[in-house]
Amino acid sequence: MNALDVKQTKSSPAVWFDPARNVLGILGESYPENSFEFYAPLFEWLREALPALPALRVEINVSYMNSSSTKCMLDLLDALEAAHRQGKRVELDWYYDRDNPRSLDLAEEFREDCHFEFRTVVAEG
Amino acid sequence: MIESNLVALREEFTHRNVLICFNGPVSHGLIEEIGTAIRRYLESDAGKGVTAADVFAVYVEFSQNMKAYLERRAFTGDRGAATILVSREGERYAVTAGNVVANDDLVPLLARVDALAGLDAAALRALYKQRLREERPPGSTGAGVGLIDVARRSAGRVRYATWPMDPDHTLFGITAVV
Repeated sequence: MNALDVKQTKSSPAVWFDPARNVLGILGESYPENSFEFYAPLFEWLREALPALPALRVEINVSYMNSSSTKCMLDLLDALEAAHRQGKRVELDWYYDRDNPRSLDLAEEFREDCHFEFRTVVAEG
Repeated sequence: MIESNLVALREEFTHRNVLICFNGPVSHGLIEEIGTAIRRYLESDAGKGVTAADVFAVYVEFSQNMKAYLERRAFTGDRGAATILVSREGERYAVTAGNVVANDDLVPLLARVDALAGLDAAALRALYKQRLREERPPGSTGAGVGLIDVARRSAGRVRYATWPMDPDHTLFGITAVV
């Protein structure tokens, strides 16, 4: 089984899967030099690992994402939606910044096309 | 010597309320560092909230667009320099990006900016969502929606100006006010 453990940098988030809790996490800011290359390992992991997982919880705390990353995030949500449609239990906690209304707007724009459980949570600190 | 123009340079920056200015080749590392400087500056000036986030976002979209374009065209030296300015315009912040564009690329670029000019928030949002779902052209590094994202964050329309440099190239400057 592939491990997924990408370390956070100034312009790219940490991306990891915690098999003990079945949680996929994304934490940080996202404006890497090439978003599609950056998120490729995540999509490869999803393709290989998701079919075997009974359920998946996702925690996303990305305080800023550039437009390319937004596209990748949309692709991720589409993959989660597809898994949900196939009967897999999928839950997402999307963290947003209470001080920045745009941050909640972004979450809600993403939520529009998702039918799995999608919660918005105030990020601490 | 640079110092013989120093008074004029300072006056220009002061007159235009320039907070940060950079001119030269941009790497990803430099985009990160200038981004940090912009953020630190705004923390003391504007505090947290929508404005600081929007200035940073516009800056990242502009600077990454310029970097990708200059690399795609393999512009180097003076032609490969990207100009970045963050300045105050009244109560707001203006983010300006400038780079040389090959004339063949200019008309489509101006058309893309012009197309956004008349759109209200709802129309921009719809266009953004639609574009985001379109297939990416092969070899593209971006999502094709950076300018739309900038327009959504801007107060008023995104402005631009052009200056011919030589028979085949034009300097293109774009400003978003946040």
